[in-house]
Amino acid sequence: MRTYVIRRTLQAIPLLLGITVISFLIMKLTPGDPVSLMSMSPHITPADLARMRHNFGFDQPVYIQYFKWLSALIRGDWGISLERGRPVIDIIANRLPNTLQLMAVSFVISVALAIPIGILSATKRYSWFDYSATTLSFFGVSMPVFWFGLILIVVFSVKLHLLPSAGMMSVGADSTDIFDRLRHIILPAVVLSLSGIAGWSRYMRSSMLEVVRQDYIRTARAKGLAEKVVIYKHALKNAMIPVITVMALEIPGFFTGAVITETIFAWPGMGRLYYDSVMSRDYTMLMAILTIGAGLVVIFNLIADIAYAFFDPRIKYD
Amino acid sequence: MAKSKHPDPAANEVANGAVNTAPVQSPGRIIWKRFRKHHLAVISAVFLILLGLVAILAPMVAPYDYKTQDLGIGRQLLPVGTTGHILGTDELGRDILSRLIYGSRVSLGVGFASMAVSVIIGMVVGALAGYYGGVIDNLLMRFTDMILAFPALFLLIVLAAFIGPSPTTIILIIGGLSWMGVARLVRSSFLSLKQQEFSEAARALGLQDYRIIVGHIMPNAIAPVIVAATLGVAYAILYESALSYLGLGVQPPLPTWGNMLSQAQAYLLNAPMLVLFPGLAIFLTVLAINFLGDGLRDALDPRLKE
Repeated sequence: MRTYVIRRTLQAIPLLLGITVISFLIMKLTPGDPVSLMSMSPHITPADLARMRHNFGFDQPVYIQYFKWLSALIRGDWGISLERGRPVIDIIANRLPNTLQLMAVSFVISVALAIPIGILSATKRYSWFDYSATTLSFFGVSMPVFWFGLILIVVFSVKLHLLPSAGMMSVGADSTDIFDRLRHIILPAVVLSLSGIAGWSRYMRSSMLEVVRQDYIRTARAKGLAEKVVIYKHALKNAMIPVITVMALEIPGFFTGAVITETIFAWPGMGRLYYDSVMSRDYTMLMAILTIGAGLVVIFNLIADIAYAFFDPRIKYD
Repeated sequence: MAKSKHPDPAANEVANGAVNTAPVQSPGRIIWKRFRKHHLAVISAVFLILLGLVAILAPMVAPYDYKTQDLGIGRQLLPVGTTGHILGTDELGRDILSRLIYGSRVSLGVGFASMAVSVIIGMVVGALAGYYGGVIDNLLMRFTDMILAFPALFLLIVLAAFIGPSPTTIILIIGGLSWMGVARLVRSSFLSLKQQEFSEAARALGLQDYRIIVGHIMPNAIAPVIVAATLGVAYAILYESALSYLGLGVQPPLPTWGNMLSQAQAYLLNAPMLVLFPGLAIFLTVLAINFLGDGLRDALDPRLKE
């Protein structure tokens, strides 16, 4: 097991490096560097531009620029945001907690709904509940998230005046006012959890159906255990293994999904920051967020693999 | 959705060698028989065909042109059910129904074209990796892993913003970022198919590699690709609409369902209905494609049934 963990971790390193190469190349190969945006100004002479390019290091070969960027990245120097003029890492440190908060609440909502729905669908297979859950999950994956968000705003903010449509807290509210914060997080968290609920409930259902077919479940029933004990003590534990793996694989999806959700609800997190940075061509910011996003995918892939090996002793990896 | 508890009679006939007594069943007929049983998929297919016709015949079907403004005073933001404008008008007095109909052209067009791009790239990459194996397989698959590691939406947004939002670039960007699933599917089919007797026979006949790949192995690997391609159209439509919603997709005045939603957002307070219809159009189309894909999976590859 330990060698497996070490080997998988080592395998992730070239992947991470490749990711940094691609993020860097995308930024370099797209037309126009940040300096050329400033050349719109009549006060700047070509000599100024050349000097600025030299100062930023843009006049050096691409691979040298890459290695400089990479070594700085590893040392924790993520550069200065071109748009905001402050260190990238400070801005991210400021925004990341807001996104993590949103992700955590959405994750909890997704799990709390998907698991019970999946179990009920499987134990009451072909019942009206199962059919409605299936249909609803099709609705869930087919719904454009931003439309779902807008509809929720129209219903709950515009018509019913129940919940706020934007921001993390009311203007002038005390930042420790938990109730106010909860009211603000409900709509964006529901929107962000939509795909998790739809997808995971299906996984839970099919994984459960797979498990209840096994011999040890028949044995448990044959020795006269109550159906509840069979399902929740014997079947559920094993049915959860693949579901946990899928969840780990999809956690980075909450991070990406936040781009749209945070844009709709003006949530001051990483997603909104990414969108704003794209609009202002803030290259240093973008490279940092792209690398973090891709890094999260690699890390959670690794966690999923290791979790699978850990929870399922039938699988031997060496 | 696994609705039928009874074993598939069509499959049974084949398995029991019932071909002697019953009239010969072509594979196409067997597939059609299975597909027909998935009622939602059949309804969805009919809906999508009608929608496709509306999109193609847009200038004939739409009551107005998508740019035509009703310039009368108070003819803007008309409610649903107004005579002359069944679904009302937008903030410039343009007919919503006509814009939805014209919007279907871009949304469906971009959806299908992106899918075509992604399926072509995916089939080429998957076939090369699976057929040749070794170093080629390793290189191609590590590259695939790397692209997969990037959050697709992040890359879509940055590329669309930097390269420019014409329909063609949007198609290339969406297609260029969604071929990885198809590549993996095709590769794994190729890995097993190339070991089978018919491939060996083709090699023994001295056929060139590309003829073995295209003429002999690919036709046997195509079923899961068809299902993936169908679902790919749904993803592409959702991606296009998300980009357009963020203002990075196809630009106005050309209407797409996504940019109609984006414009409607400003009138959430006085005309919430403007938000309803474009979103409903995306939702119903994507839903129909997903049902169709589900039906095709049951029909083409019954082993994949849950």
